[in-house]
Amino acid sequence: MASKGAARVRKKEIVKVIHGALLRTNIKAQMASAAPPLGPQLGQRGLNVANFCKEFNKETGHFKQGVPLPTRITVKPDRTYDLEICTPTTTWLLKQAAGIGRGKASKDEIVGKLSVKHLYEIAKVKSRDKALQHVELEHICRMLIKTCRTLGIEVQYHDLNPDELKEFLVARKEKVDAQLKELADKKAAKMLRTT
Amino acid sequence: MLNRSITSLANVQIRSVSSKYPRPTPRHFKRRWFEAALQPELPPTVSMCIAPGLVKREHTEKSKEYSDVELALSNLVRDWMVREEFRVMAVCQFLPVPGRTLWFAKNQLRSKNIEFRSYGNKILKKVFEKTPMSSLNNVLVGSNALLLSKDISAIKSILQETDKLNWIEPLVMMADGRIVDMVQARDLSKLSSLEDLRAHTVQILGQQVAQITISLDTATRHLPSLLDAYASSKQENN
Repeated sequence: MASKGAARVRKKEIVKVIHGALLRTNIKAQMASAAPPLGPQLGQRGLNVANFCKEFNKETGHFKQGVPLPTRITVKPDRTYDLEICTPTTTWLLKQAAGIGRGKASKDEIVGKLSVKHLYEIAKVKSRDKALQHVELEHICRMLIKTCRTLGIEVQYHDLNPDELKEFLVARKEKVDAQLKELADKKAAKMLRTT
Repeated sequence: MLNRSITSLANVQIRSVSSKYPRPTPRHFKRRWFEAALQPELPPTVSMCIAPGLVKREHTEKSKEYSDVELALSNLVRDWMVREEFRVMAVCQFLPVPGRTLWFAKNQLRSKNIEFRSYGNKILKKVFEKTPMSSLNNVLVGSNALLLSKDISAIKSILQETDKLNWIEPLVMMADGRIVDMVQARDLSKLSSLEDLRAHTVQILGQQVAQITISLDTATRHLPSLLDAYASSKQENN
């Protein structure tokens, strides 16, 4: 009997996670739903997920569907919340401007080209954020240049030459297609592998 | 028979075969003999004595040296401060604060034309080197930050803003190349504007000049009447 008692598996202690008041997350415009990852994140903080999704989708009605929007949700003790929807993510804006779908996969890879005029326009959009109010436009532009570097986008001072850009984009498309084909082949080989 | 078997079992259990058990010290003489026989023949090592406190001293000296990056940063900061022509600088004690709070506070201060900078005391000491500001080195202890402004009347706004924030405390201020302690700074901040102070000073100086003119004018005005009086009294005596 005693051995039986000892063998009994001790019930795992559940440690309750105490969440902070601020929830930072990226939600796609008009696409908030109760499904993971957003639903559990909100549920754990005691918010009404359905109401939140409804409000968020209504607020983001003027955005194109699927645009990733950085969102800051401040949860109050009485389970009400303050919703702060920022302008679309910098990486999304830069990728859209450069006409590319993905960033660099390896070091020193150039995936797109932008001129400083593009960055200036994006900086003007980003400067409307609450977090970037009273920040100099030059400082925002510098931050954008850093993000361009991480994405593999080349920033040039002069305007882009349309012919050169077209040539570059065609070459890039071929390269990306080859990369995607290689990935698909690898995946297929993995699926077929029996050992 | 049973007793004997239990004793042998106990011996087996007691034997310290695992490395987790402490080895008997001193080791058994047979073991020592064995180890001495197997010891490789190496040249005798000369052990060097390190003077007490030498390591600490070396460490302190090394921490005082500036790397190329630090020198470049200090040059950059100095050039920036000269280029921007800041007129007011407050050296503050800077306590730990969440990044988001700090970022919003920086932006808030920037909206009041106050620039928040925190480079570390080592860099700041290098920036202030060979300048009148080197006397501020005494307050650069612990974690410090600088509040800079181009407008002289920012003394008031700096004090107002730092009173609102509990993680920043101004220690000393510098206005137009003069060090102003916090008591004086508070007095200055009570004035509606520093232009009033300037006007007051000009008025005092103007009063002095006018007083001198009046004094000199009075003497010249009195002189003829005095001379007349003297002349008339002399005639009467004659």
